[in-house]
Amino acid sequence: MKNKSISETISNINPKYINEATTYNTDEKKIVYHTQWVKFGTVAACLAFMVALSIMIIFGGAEQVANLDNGDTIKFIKTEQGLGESDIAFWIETRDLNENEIKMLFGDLPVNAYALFNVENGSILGIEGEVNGMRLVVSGMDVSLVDAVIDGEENTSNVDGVSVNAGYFIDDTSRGKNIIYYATFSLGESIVYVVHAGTKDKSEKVKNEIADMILKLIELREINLNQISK
Amino acid sequence: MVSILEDRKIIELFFERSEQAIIELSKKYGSVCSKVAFNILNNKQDTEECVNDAYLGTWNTIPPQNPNPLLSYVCRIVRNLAIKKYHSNTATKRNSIYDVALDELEECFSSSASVEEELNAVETARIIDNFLESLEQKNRIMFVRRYWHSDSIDDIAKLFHTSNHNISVRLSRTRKKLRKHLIKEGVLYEK
Repeated sequence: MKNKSISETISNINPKYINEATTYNTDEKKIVYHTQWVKFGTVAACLAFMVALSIMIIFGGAEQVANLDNGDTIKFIKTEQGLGESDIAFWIETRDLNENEIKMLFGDLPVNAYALFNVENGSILGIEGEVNGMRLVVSGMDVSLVDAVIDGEENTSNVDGVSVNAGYFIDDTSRGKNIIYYATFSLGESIVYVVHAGTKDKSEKVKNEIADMILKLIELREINLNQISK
Repeated sequence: MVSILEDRKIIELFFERSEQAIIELSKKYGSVCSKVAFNILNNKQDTEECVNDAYLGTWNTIPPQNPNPLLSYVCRIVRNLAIKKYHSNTATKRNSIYDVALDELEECFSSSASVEEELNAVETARIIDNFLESLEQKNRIMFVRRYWHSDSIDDIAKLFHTSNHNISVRLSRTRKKLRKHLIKEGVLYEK
């Protein structure tokens, strides 16, 4: 189909979707989280997170290896689809983490993140943010913000004593052929999920950057979310 | 303090044939309309002309039209006029966000054998409507912002307080789902 036809087709989508997208404002929603929900306690909502779902659908046995400074290696297994999505049915509140909290959880790593709390009991559900341009999600063991399963020794790498489940996939429909690397692992009582992407011609650089970050996160030994209160 | 009228009041002004209707429309939705047009035309002067033409188009169609919601109605007029201007302007270089977004979708729609010519844009749009309905809201909004509004990845990332990578990955996944949906619905044949 030619661009002109595609454009014409997209032009004809239902106006309700156009209106929904045009009026969408996350800032307004955040205000609602902080005030209306608590005040009225009747509005339920769900928040979508990027999660790793049933990862490790291997084909062709393709894998890429990153060598780490400590001598360990991380195997990134090629997957058909490395990222899934899940709706988390919690009533949540969010707030940005302050500098002290970032320092307490992540040491000197340049993390920008916000915390998510269960409105009903005030408990922390997890943290979502970025570190050096990589997406970072940390959740408690009993919270499925990151629904990743380390499913088989052949797909895991041992990094400084921690099992890391890592993969990558090619976004071949995008302009420039992007490559996306991701990894999940447990640290103390938390599950960590990190993803990094770049153009395919820079895959080596992207892979090494995420591998270095995985090692730095693992060297923290634990990320204790219970240190963060609402 | 600038007061913003409700849509209903603005439409009443159109029905009364009051030129204040255009002023109120511009005050309330002018910036959104300009962004939609600029994403396609990538030119301030063309954008301004396009938005003004859209106001005139709105004036000429309300009444008898009584659109609800007003915003998407006006935006559609803006977008259609912008695309028309884009195609008629042979000097326009392929440098707008609109081009990039369409290129992404073209790969999604590509097929070695297809029946796409047999389906008109409206019929295919209904199939896409069903697909959009099946999406989680965030992904649907990202998709519409990218391919209807022609918003940049950067703008969408800011809207959702997330990274460009995150948006690119989500859009990529949605495009793949759309392609599967189009194949399933017979718009495309699988290679």
